[in-house]
Amino acid sequence: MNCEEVRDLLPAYVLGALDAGEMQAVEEHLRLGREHDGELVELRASVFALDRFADEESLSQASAPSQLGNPVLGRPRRIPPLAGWQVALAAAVLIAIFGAGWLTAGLTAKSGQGVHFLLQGSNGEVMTVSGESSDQFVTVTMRGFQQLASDRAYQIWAIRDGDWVRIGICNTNYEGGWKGEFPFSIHTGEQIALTVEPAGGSQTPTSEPLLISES
Amino acid sequence: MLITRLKEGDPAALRELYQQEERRARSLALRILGDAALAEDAVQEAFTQLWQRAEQITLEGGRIESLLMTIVRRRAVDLARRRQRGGQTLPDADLLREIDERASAMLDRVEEDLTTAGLRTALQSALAALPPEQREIVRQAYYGEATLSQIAAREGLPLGTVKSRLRLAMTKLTESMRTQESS
Repeated sequence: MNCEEVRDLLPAYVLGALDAGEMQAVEEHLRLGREHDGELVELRASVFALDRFADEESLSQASAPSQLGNPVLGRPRRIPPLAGWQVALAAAVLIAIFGAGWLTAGLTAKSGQGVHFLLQGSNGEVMTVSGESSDQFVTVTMRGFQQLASDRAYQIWAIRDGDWVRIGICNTNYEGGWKGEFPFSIHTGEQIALTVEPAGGSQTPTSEPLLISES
Repeated sequence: MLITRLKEGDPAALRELYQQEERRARSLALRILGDAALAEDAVQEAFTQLWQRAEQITLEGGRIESLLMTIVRRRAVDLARRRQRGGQTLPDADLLREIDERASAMLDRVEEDLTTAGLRTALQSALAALPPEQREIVRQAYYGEATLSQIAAREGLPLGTVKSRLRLAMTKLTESMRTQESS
């Protein structure tokens, strides 16, 4: 592939819209030198501008449906603005545990009926807990956690009016990740905590929390 | 600065960034994926990646918010492609790392000159000025819906026509950015 052919494909390349073979050929060419750097920078800046400022409306307006087929993914869903968006930023609570310097900290973000928690550890561990006050399920994602031995489990708690209420138990995979749902209705004003418990879980926490959000 | 605190491993810095950008990041991912659960995955992976690799970040004058949106978009499109097309991936991130840093810095300079609202208006004006057939190719390519070959097959157009439309559209967008930056 020569320079002219590569230049022709750069707009599609920066959007990731090339077939695998073309993608590979373009990248092989780009690794040979830096003569396309200037054009690439401008094209990528345009993509980043789209990331930041283009909404579905501005990309779709005046399109001609009769000329278009059905998108592979379907039409992206438009999200209404989140009215009354409020975020309560919690102060960090730092508790060192196990001598490994795990930290606990949390953030609660409320949007409409939704409640979202982000909890992070000092070694890259991140846990999110999301739910709707009106819903009976919460979604939990964990990444970067140590996989526990088979006789231990992570247990997730909600702290409600000072009481520790069980949400559920899980163990991460060998890559330190886990995602799942628990039947639980979460409310604003509650805290989220994570402890390590015996497999099967505990009625009340038996260890200090690894992570805990602020109220 | 937020980036300095992130690089130092300050957990409060990640929370501040999450507070500021989570809504916009989720909106971006949802636009690309059209699926709230997958969008949540993409956003969570992006924040995790940023947190875990904060020490290696070099912005060269760019903004952490721009880098975050880049990661979110990359993760979202990657998830979309894996779901729909069996593992096709985005351009090599390592190959584009320096390019992306310069691009982020360029966009930030334009934003400083124009203000955020001004840049948004400029971009949306440039998009509105595109012929509908060009804008539609941009839309499909941008949202990771299909490769150029797939768009051509779907639309019943020669591949060269699709390439040409995308090239013309992206050239207009970059020229708009260049004009804004030079002014």
